[in-house]
Amino acid sequence: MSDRELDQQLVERAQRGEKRAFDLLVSKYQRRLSRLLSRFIRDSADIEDVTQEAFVKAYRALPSFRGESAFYTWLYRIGINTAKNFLTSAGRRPVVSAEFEDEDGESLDMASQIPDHHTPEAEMMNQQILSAVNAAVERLPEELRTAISLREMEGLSYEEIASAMNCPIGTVRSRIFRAREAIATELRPLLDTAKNKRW
Amino acid sequence: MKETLSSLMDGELSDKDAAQAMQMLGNDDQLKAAWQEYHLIGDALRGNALLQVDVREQVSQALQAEPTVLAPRNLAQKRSRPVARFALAASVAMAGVVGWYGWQGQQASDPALMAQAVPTPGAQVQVANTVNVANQSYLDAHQDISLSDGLARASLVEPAAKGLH
Repeated sequence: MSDRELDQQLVERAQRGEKRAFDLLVSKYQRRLSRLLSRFIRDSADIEDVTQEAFVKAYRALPSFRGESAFYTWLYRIGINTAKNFLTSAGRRPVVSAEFEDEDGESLDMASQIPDHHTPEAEMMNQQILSAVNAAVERLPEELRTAISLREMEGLSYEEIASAMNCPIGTVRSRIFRAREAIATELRPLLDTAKNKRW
Repeated sequence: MKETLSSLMDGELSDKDAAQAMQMLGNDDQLKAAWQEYHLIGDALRGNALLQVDVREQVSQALQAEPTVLAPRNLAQKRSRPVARFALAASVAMAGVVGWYGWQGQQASDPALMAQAVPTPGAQVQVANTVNVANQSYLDAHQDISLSDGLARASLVEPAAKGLH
């Protein structure tokens, strides 16, 4: 089952009334959507509000989602429209107005420049998470580090990774899982701290 | 189970295993937390600069006030179910054929019945189709909860056709 098919399955579950399935889509796409919206909206609190509003609108519009496009592409359009409405109502101009009409979410979303308008606290938390993940990756045994890097950064399938690392697919599956768990274990104390305070 | 979740995220499970994993994921808070953590790790490794954003709780609270979405399955899927349509057409055709032979047999063995008004085979099929059209919207809206929509449609059409005999 491909990533798109997985999203479609979650959407269909949400369409049948399982709100928890929609929660999983929120978990998966909230940062990606926020990063996209940060191209248009200056303030980090506003970005978070618009992200939230876009997800609520997407939930309301679920009956009209036919699966003709990928879920994220559809969510992207809702996010852009929500940002437009927000900026119009606030009487503000988008940060990057030239890209506003561009519906190619992927190309916009690939840019990873850090917006310079976040609160110091939010920026600090962001850096802490990033540092913790990078440090945890550095400490991984080489075979785990290679497997997770090929998967997450290069987007290779298990079969391709197995071929590149000359090992069975089952081993790739296990290495990627062990790498994720090792990183998550180091990240949890930080996330628990973050949960107790809003930035 | 977390290893299965990891494979699910990567799109590396069969449809059957993925469906099972999603079912478990929806009912297990630890797995949901792992789902969030693993996606966060992926975003961090891909250089996402907004790792601190977390609107899950706010969205979840906002959705509590929303009516539960109950949407019929999408049109693309309906179109990809030729078996269901074939089952419906076959059911209607079978009702017509059985009716036709039944009528002929009756005609040959019991001449007294020939005087009675008997609907023509064409009329039988037409009435069966009318039943189908009348129930079409109902069947479309509820096909998701049937074991097999082809079976459900056939079973709803057949009694109507049988009643004509």
